[in-house]
Amino acid sequence: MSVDELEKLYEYRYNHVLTAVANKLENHIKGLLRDIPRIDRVSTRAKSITRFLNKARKVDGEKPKYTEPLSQIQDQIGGRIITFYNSDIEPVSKIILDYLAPIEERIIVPDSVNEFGYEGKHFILLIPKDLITPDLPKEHRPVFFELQIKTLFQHSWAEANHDLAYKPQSELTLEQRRKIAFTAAQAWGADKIFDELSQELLKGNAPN
Amino acid sequence: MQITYIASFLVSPGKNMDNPPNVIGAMLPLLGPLYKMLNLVFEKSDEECDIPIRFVMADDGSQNNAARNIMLAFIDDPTQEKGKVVAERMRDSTTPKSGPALFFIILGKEGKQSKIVLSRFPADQGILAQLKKNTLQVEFIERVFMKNAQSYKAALYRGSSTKGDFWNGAAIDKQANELANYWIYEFLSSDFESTSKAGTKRFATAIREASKKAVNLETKKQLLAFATLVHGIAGQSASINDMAERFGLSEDSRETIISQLAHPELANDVFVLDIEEFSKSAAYSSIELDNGGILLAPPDQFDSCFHRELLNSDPNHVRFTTEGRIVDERIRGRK
Repeated sequence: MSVDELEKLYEYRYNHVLTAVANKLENHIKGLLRDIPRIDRVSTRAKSITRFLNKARKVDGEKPKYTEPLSQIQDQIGGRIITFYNSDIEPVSKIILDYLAPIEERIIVPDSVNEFGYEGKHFILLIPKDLITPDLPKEHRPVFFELQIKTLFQHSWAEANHDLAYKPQSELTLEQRRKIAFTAAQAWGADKIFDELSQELLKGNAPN
Repeated sequence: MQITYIASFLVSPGKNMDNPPNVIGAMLPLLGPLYKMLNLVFEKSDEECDIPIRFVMADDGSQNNAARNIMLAFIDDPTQEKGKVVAERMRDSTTPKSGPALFFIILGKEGKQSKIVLSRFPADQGILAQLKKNTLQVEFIERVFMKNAQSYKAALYRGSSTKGDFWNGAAIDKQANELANYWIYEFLSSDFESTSKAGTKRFATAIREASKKAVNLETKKQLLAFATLVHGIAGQSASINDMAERFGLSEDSRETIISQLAHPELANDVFVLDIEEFSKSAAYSSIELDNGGILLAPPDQFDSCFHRELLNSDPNHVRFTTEGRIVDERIRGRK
């Protein structure tokens, strides 16, 4: 399939299916978490056409990473749940696994104990059948969505890091990489201390 | 969609056996009466397989499922050798109670789309009667493989890419409650597409909303009775339509419930009824008092319907008061 054909197909899918399903999914997840405290926000989005095409073009060595991107790229709809503290992630995850069907669950942490970088809990989940109405064209109905659950600090670090560290113009210098790692360590430390404080100060108000 | 390959295997039970019986198989020609019969199975599978299922992820959380992997291997390379691996998995999930079976893997391809049906015909005993030279010859047959037997099972998957699709499909299991463990959970390493809590929450919310919307008083009462009766099937798998059928719900009550679902197809979605979840999202909250009285109201209106007053500082010793216009009153006599 040519890039033009892929773009046309995804554009149709994006406009006629994904944005509508993503909106419904956001309300669905908010409904599931209604009674859970200390959730900063729940948001969903359909992957933009540009980002989808960029991902579809990725290579693994010399071969294309995705030979059938419309089927293989599973985050055409993505969701985020941002919690206040680290210990809020587990009860949220439990609710998610109680009500949504996973095909993948990953905790992403840096490879080495000496490193600081991206952290978060990621799921690939089936889109609830309630949101896939019969009027949606069959060949464009999404099956999965990606859900990330992160703390406020993990999220804000990831956003700034994505904005600054993935610039195509040039590679980061050693000093810049150290600064990025330093901010990740600061975010990790802030999460740690806030979590300890929340355990001390919010006893009896812990999530179920 | 045209069938492109059919693999057939005789599978005897082999679960927990040190030396399980060999699986013998053959690729079948795409012609003749057997092909015609299997073509019917293949075509009808879209209607017959009505239990939405999905493969489960690996224990380590990765996108890896042994049953899906061997099925995908057959789709990519539809040979007897690849089919035998699937048949051996079925053998290793089957206990002697289920008996021997003929197992078919039927694959169809049209453009990029593939459809695969895994179908198990259980063995039964039968009698063969033939007319030979004006005499009747009657023979006992030990193994007749029958689709219509109560233990016929099948699963259907569709997709266009073995790299991303085929995570969810649909199954038929005529012994859904008794043998789902072996067919859906074990052999297919799958689960119902809706989790127990999700299916139950959808069901309870639909009854609650239906009972609010019902105009007919009889319908309201039937919905209330239905919400009470389903407690008897806690932990069992069923769809909303199954339950409506089982408890003899009127057409009006059933339609009122279905009208509260996001779309009518959800009434066929099978889930395991989680009674704790049902009570949480249930149609009515009730309190029974030791004086014989029962108070009943929708959960979100219970506190506004009944004013609660603690007596003697005992949380269980209470006085309830309420006020409203009577819309219906009945005295039910003892038989």
